[in-house]
Amino acid sequence: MKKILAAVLLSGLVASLVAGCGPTPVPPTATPKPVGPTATPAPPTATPVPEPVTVVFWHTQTGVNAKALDAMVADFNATNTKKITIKAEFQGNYTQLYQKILAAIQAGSPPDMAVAYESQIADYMKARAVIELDDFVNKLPKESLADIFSGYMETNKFPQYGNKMLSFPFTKSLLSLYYNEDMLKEAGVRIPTADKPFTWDEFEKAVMALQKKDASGKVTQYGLTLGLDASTIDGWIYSRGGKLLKDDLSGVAFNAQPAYDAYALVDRLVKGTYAYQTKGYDYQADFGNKKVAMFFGSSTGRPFVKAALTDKDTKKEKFKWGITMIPQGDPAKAVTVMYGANITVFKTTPAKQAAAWEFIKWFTDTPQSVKWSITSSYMPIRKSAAENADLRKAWETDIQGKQAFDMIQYSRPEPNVRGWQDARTFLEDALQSVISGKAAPKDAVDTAAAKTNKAIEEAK
Amino acid sequence: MTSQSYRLLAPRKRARKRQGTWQLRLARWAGLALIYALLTLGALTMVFPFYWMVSTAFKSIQEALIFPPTLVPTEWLWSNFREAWEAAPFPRYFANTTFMASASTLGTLITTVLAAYAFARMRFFGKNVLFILFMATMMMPFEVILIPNFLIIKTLKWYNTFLALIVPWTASVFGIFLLRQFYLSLPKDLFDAAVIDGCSHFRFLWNVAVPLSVPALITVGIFSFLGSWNSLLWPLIVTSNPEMRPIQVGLTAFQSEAGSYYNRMMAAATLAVLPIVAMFLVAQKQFVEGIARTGLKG
Repeated sequence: MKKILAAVLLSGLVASLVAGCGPTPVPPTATPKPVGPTATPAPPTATPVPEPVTVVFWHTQTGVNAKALDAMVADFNATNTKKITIKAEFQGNYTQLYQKILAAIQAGSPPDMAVAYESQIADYMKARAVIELDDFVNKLPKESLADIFSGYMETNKFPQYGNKMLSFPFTKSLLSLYYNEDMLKEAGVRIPTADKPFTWDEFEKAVMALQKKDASGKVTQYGLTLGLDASTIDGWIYSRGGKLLKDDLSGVAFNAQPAYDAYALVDRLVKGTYAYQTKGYDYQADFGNKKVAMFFGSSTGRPFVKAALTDKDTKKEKFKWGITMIPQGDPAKAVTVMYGANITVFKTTPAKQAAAWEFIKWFTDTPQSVKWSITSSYMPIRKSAAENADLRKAWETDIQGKQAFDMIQYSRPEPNVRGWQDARTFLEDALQSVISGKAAPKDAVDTAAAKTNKAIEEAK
Repeated sequence: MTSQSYRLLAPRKRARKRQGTWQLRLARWAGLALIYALLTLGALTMVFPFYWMVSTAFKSIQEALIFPPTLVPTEWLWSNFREAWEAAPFPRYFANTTFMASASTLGTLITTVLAAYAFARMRFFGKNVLFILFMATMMMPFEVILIPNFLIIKTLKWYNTFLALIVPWTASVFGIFLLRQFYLSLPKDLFDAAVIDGCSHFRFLWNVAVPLSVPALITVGIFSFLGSWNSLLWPLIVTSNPEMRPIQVGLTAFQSEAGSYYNRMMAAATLAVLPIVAMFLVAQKQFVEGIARTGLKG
């Protein structure tokens, strides 16, 4: 006992010495973390107290988002009545996190909860490493369930696993069309809206009208820039009334007219120098530098786009811009693609699983969902967020945030079957071969379809 | 080389045609000018990315994104460095990385010297087979050994400790190969003379071979240090808290799934490479010598 007391005193002394001689401000993340169950002594109460439980949460958030997430986690840890401590740990980007989780599953030590894309969750479930959330979800009040955008729920139900919910919406966004309003007006093009988006024919004419050339015939302004992104391609196919998979999930259904038309449009626009390809996030800079009038991108990219189109000297936006619904085959049945990751709970102990759900429930409730959405630019997952005063205030400066929110109801998930991860690469390769003129649009799509069918077969 | 060949040719030419000298001198100057022009071009190509990093570090995000890029920032934002520094626990990251890189470099040097010497100078059963096995591990991509390595770390209960960050990197097959070649080039007489004087293997290694191989050791050391300094995936896999993370994790703070803050990222990158550049400048002479002596040119 004496020894322990001495040790405690000594460590306290050392700590105070260290603190005393360190004049540098300590960043919040460097302060000692609240540790496990043993460190939090139970208050002496007569009522039955729940056992303290720690939940390790692996995520991919960086910078301001990471700080906001840490603050919210700290808030939850301080306010929850069930003695739950969430330990949020950054584990790299989605690919690095995926690699680490696969290794951790092998080692029998997965985290308690993690952020993941649908196709990754399907892989974790193949190892039976994640749990079904249905029992938890079904305990939510009916009106609370109905408040969540149905597409966000749908994407987390996995048809290959009995349509069970293996995850819950976490960082959601959607595919939208970014446009330079000034350029559109100058070219005499109608400004599209969520209610009245472009038709695909209208869009093609608009892209052509937006091209500008100088006297020597060099293009000085393009109508459209294209990145290689499978989700965007999926959006084109959906919006032309196409399907990606057969209803029985036995193979692909995209080798049909909608995809052929989508790839053929790209072929025409690139050949006519109305559109060009950009790598990485270069489209944001090109849009800001008025090199191009439109691009397809995630709604989450809007702070970066905003930075790119703000004048470096006056700090004002160089032109009017907006984001809207992608072009449609039938504007009456408008649809776009949903982006973003989910949160999934790993098979651990019932207590930890229940605690993880408590956090998810809290985090996705309207006030928290709104708070998270304002800092991170992800979409709130609940309809009632629209009535929230804080969000309404944020929308006053983030006009495009409101424009994106209004489209959530039209956003549809991509397939979450095993093997679809490979399909993404095949669709992107096909687009690249069309852009570089190596393959005819229909052939490119058919090749991608054949390869995907094989991948889906192999992943069964 | 060129000047020597000119000198050899010159007397004969002079004898034949006196007025040819100024033309020759001109040709020599032209040749030199061409060589310098090419070298300058090469140097500029190498320096430009570095220059771009440093200049972007001072720009506003708007200026960092404009095209064509401004060569000199219109406004020098020193605040980028402060903001970058505050975006992640950099002091801790720096301390971790310095410790991790130093310890693994020290470990690498010790194991490399011992193994290289054994492969070069000692005779033992299965030496060649063992050496081939060593070399074979160089061909294995990191991704392939990632999961097995992680399992070993977990089994040893080294997860989230410095041991996991350091121990796997205290052996370098490349270093062993480099140093073995060097030790093979030492004259056998040197060894024989030492043995006649009563030297053991270890004594010879410590008193003769190691001092002779300092440039090569510095090369191995720098590669090992750089490898640790730049590592990202392995530390992410085997650690979980910011308290255990290295500098490269700090650089990811400016990237997100929807875009990047290039200016602050470059400010942080500038800070992160400063120690490495300083170290290289100090050890430059030995470094170049080390590569040249072992007959490796890259």
